Amino acid sequence: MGFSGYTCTGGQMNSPQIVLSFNEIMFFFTRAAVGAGLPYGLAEDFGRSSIWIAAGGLDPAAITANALKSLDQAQSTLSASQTENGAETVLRSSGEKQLSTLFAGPSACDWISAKAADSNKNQYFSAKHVDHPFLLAAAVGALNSGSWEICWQDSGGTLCAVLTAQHGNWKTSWDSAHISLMSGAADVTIKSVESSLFKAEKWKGKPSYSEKNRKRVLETGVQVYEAWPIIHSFFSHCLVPSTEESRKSGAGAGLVDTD
Amino acid sequence: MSESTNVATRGMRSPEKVMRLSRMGSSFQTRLSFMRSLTRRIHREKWEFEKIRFDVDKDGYGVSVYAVHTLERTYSLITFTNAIAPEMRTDRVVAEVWDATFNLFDGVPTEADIKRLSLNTPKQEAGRFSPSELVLARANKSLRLFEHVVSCLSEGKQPDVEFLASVGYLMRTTAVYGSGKFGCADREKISKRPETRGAFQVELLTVYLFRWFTIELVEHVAKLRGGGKAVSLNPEISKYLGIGNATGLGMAPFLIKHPVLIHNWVLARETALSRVITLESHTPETLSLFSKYLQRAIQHIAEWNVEDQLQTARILKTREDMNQLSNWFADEENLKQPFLWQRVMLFAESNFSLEGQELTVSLLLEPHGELVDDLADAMHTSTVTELDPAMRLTQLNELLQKSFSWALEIDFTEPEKQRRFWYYSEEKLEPRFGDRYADPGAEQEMPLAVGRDVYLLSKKIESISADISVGEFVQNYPEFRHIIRRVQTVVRFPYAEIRDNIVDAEMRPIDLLRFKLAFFGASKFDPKSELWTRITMFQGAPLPDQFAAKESDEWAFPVIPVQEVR
Repeated sequence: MGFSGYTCTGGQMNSPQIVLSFNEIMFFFTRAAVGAGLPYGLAEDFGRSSIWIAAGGLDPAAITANALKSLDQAQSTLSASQTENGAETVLRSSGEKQLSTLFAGPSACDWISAKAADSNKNQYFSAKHVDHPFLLAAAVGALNSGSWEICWQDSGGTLCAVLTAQHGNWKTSWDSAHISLMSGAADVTIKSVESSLFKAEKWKGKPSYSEKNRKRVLETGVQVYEAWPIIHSFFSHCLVPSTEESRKSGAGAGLVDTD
Repeated sequence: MSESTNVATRGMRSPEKVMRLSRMGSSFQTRLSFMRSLTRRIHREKWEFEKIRFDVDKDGYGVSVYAVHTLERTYSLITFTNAIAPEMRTDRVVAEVWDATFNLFDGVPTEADIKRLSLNTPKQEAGRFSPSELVLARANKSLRLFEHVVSCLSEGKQPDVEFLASVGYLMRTTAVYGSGKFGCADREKISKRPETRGAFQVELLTVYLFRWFTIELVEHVAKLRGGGKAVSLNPEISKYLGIGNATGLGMAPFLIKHPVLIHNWVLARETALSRVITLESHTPETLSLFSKYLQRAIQHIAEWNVEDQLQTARILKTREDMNQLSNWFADEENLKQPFLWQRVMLFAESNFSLEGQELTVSLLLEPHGELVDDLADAMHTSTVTELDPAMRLTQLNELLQKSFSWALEIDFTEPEKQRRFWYYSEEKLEPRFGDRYADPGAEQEMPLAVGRDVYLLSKKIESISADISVGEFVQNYPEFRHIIRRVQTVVRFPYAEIRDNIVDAEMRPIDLLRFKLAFFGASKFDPKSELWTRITMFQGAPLPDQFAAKESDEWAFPVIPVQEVR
């Protein structure tokens, strides 16, 4: 399994830089995505994915920061084409660049939503050369629409899979919690699975995340570690510098209110 | 059958009528307002109040903990008060010190909690909080009134009620943060609790407890100053003291960002109105109550005085309207016909200003608690906006033509139609309202211009000949994903959208503020500009030891208490 990026997503050693609420994650991460160049609608999807990650007890900044950097530095693209080929729907980047997971995730969710009424469960979705595959799984998880298996092969050749199920439950095929360490673009496949798979032998003993995690996080807040400044830096792109004029005329209330 | 049709067939006022800024900016509190539903619950469930700690010195500075025990849980108000320099006293978000800072705590705080908060709460936005804290807020004194009340009480006298009425509160809040702000608990944590499920219930409980604290604080300072001579406030005077609030632009984006919630608020009020006006007959009791509230509203409006010239003119017209209504009501012939309440509403719509009409709505609901109070339970939502990628563009276009004609009729190629823009300043993230053609930052505009975005979407759809799916469309034009998701969701909720252009050169944010504050239950709107207003909250509401019998819910339209002649 290839690794890069930020440490500390589970079993943290350092103190968190900040503890955020879900509402703050939506607020900061959505605008951070806008700051990295994403249109607002896709940024909202990114915000929802970030909450899904956080609800699992994971550090959303550590897991998402590189995807924002990848887009900001034009290593990945939002330009893609989608084709249907028999049972397979393929999404691929329009050029040579990696396909941004911030685009691929919502596209996969749209495919799932559009196929919701379809009885043909053999159809599947492939996203080619996706820069951060786990975030595609996060988008599908945040959609919370049935049972899906999201698979890819990481740069070390290891087959990775995320299984999402009803009620916000999900599992990962790998034993460690080092999701943020996974690197390398990959082809990602998404297919519908029977809900019973969640309890099948193949997935027994795998790390599992559930509503209990979410409730626990609601009581503790979301611990965010050293990637937080990256998120905050992108977020800051959405702010307007204050001027004396805007301070006086652009906001409510007086500057001194003594009465 | 669409929701819009449902609204019409149920005899409700149309969204085209109700969701206009001019009418929204004329709103009044009703018995469905959130402060009213909170005090009803306090009374119904017999909540108990307890002063757990009051370590406050002779000048009123220190720490206090006031608790309320609900049926299942306890919530505590932890307040820190300290001295600040007068020139530092500002109602703006950019303030850095306040007379009082406080949290609503989930449970009873330990010493460690209080110590932790003592290091954070006084810093407000610069502090960090935990999910134990449900609300973070701050307030400044009305220096003149606070000192006047202390001075009078310390000398054994009651304060001058006319002076007291000219302010209405001892302190005013300048921000009340909930829903996960600055690390506080997410709404999700408390959204299923019966006592906090309703909109803004924890925020308003905080304000209610803080009001109690301010009254005890002023009495405490007076007692230490006056010793044996000092007296407490007359209960009628303390009941008349509310809590002030200064509200600026921060509240406005909320209304745009929560369309389904806003729909539910308005739907509840309009449903209540339709229930009342479709009553064929009335009872002597409701007739008597209406008359009582009408007379009280007349006095309340007579005591409502502001400096703002536009609002003053509107108040004068509302006074005329209410006198007209009183005269109409005094004519017994008018009371003999069926559908009295419907005829009252028709009379108002034919003769009154928008403020007069909306005050009439409030008056019509007031005597009909048994008929309408259940609607307050539906004024919240967990619905989020969702994209339907399978929809065809032609279908989406039909939705636009049907539900957003108000937006499509605006010519956004005219520069004045989008002169304004909303943004976050890097200075404490203060929301500001800019001039697109004069101020920097338009490229960082908040995505709030629903009408303009719908207009642009419509133009883009017109330019595409193929009837592709929405999913395919947003892949090619992801910049429209946000507005399509909104359109597809809100078409099911007819009161969700403000049917006006909120980036127009003539747009007045104050209209949005008043709409929201009226739903909170605020009164005495006192606009200081088009960007901010002062209000009074809980004026006339019973204090914790004043919940008795049925009258505890009869605090609408508070009036100056009669001063005892000594």
